[in-house]
Amino acid sequence: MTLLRAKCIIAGDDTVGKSALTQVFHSDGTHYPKNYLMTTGIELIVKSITVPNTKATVELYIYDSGGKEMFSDHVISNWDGIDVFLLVFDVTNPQSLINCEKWLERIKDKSYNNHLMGAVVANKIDLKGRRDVDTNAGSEFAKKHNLEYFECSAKENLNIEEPFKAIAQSFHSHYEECLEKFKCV
Amino acid sequence: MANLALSSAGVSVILATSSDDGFPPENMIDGDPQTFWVTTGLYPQEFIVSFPAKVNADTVSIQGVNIKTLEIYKGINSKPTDFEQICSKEIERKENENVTENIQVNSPITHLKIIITNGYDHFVAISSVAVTGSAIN
Ligand SMILES: Nc1nc2c(ncn2[C@@H]2O[C@H](COP(=O)(O)OP(=O)(O)O)[C@@H](O)[C@H]2O)c(=O)[nH]1
Ligand SMILES: [Mg+2]
Repeated sequence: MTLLRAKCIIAGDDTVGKSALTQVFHSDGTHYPKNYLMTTGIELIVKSITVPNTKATVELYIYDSGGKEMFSDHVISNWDGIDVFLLVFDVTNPQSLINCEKWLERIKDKSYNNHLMGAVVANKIDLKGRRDVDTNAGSEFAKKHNLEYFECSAKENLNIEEPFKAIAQSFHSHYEECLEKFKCV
Repeated sequence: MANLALSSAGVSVILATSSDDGFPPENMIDGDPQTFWVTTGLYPQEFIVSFPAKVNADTVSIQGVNIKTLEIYKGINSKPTDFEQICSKEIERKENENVTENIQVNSPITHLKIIITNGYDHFVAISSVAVTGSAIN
């Protein structure tokens, strides 16, 4: 048995749905927060994921952070030692995708070796009539930074687990790579 | 000088904060530099090496990959309690290379607690914890 533990940051602008995504994932889809509660600090949630086709489990220590600029110094100070991350934007808000560049820089600063393991998440795809960022724009951004891309809706519990599974899998792959290196020294 | 911290001499690792059955903490005290214990994510990571009886320790040597900062504590009681810090160190960065850190102890010890407070990568490997010194008769 292998039990891996990863510090997972949910980053992105205010109101893109970071807390909703985290809550829905944590509750296996049974809890979607109906009212917007401003996340003023950091909330920690722990959830295990079994890595497909392995005997490994990854325990994600998920830090849902507030996105308001006013809180960012406080939030960022809790980002030391990021292992994996989800970078979330809102498909009805193009600026939230533009700001992902800025979030990514901050994540990079806090990552080991500037080594990034994360995914870009386009949220609120249920709001079809108000959608203002197409799939192409989102996936191009992800591709440019060598990140996986997912589209989901926290509200409709659509495709929520997939991005978390993907980062757990990346983390496990990196562990296997490290083991190979350790065996050679 | 001879290494006192060997499982063949009754030494054991009584606690370790990471778990991968393939790379158990005993690999640090089996006298084989090819085998290692691996941390499985997050810092700090900690382990305790216990001797069957008190020994006079001169030095402790820790050999590993990706260790950035560590702290070492000694326990002199028969129970692993009341640890006292020996040192806190930052280790030079060497990409994918085994680094050996030698620390003076010069004290009787029954237990050593080692805390890896940070790493240069997500994971750290330790292939050996060796202690030189002499048995107390
Ligand atoms: N329609 C829709 N609304 C969402 C979705 N996810 C979150 N919301 C709403 O967007 C607002 C902000 O969500 P929240 O999770 O608090 O955003 P955070 O600031 O990034 O943590 C709330 O009113 C949520 O109900 C979604 O997938 N679809
Ligand atoms: Mg929030």
